[in-house]
Amino acid sequence: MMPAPRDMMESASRASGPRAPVRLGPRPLALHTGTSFFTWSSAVMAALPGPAGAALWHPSLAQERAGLESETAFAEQPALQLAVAEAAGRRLKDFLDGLSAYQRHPFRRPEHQGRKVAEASATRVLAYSDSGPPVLLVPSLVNPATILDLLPERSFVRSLAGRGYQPLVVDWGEPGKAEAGMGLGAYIGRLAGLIQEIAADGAVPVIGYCMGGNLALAASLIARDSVSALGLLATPWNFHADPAPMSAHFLESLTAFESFDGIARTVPIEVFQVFFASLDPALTDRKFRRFASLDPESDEARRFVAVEDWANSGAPVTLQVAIDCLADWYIGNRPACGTWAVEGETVDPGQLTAPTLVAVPRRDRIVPPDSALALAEALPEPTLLRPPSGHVGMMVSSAAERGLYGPVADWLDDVSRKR
Amino acid sequence: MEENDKYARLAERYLDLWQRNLAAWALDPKVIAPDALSAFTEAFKQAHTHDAGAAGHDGER
Repeated sequence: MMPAPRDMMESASRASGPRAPVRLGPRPLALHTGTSFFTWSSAVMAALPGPAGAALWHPSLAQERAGLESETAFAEQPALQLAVAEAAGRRLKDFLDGLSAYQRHPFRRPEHQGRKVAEASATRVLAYSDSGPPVLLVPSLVNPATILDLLPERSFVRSLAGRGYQPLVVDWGEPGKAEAGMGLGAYIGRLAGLIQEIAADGAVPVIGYCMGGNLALAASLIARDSVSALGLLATPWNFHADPAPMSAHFLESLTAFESFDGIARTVPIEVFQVFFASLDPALTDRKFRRFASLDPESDEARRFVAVEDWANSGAPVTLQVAIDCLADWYIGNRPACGTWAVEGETVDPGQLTAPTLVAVPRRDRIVPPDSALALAEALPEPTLLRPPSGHVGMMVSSAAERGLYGPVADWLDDVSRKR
Repeated sequence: MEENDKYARLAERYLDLWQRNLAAWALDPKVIAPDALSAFTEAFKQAHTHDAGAAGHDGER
């Protein structure tokens, strides 16, 4: 029999010393709790027999619903409705227990701070090893760079260091006065300057993750002589490859942010979290109900907390970056159309002469595989990797070493041998 | 007891299907109303303008 959630948390807390502050995620909390509450409190209606209940069902599921209904006789309906009500109540309780267990979990990611080797205002480049050929890693502007070094046993950074490289990680930092008004182009210009500074003694490989790949690609075209190889991991390119209708409408509505100029200068992470939630509205409920069933002291629970902490943290982005991403990428699809320009120059992957690698995780829901594959098609002769994971799992799951870390290091070895 | 197990199993299947049902409605392009979010952003703007006015920094009005 499972211990009560409160007992589990007290036990976990005792094991790790003083109780840590309660988390306020998953963000935005009201959206996630509201969605679960609505889902399970409305579920009793799902069991209503006949036309009244049928009207609540989406036409695409009508047949499955009718199939379920046919398994019970009319006289059995009240008993079934009662069972549905009881099960729905348990699911809501499981979700809330999972949520509470996450919020109060004592685990905190161990600090692993790199040594600063370059900076430009809020942006720093941190070295995670003192020796070896440098490799510059570029994360997204949304969510922090810690995903590249999440836990000692799930760390792209440490894996590269173990293979003899010196990982240098871009930490974009929180936008301050120097970043006010900076759009994508300005950040790309800043990145190009940092690449040139780091490559003063010779060109270096650059690897970008998610939208960090778009930034790395554009910066590599500006600082062409400073980049010896370019890796693009789960990097979107054809933003209209797999249109998700809810997300498309949501993003279109966000262009109203343009009229916020003078009122708000940054866009908080919650806005992006709503976008991610819109891709699969039931995901948060499912994963927190599952978390409720885990032993809080297990490695799996600890990794869940680490990933959620990462996903629910991050500096806001400047208003102009948000608008550029929406207008040029998600709505305009300029990269795939060949009309995305930075500093007056079209960002054309075909112009790259350095060796390239494109990693396209097979189960990516944040960057649909067809979107990232379009980038592989636009590059001259990329090495293509297809990790058997999702967008985040590729970087931090148990399959990461075999599916990503190892093959990327092999590719770096290969590139450096050929130079 | 056997009957209860049957209802419990059916209930779990109903709930899985119900959750998928809500997602299907939510992702249905015929149902989504982008105007609702535009209304939200307009309300957000007005609220901020009002706050700024209350604090004595309403330069725009």
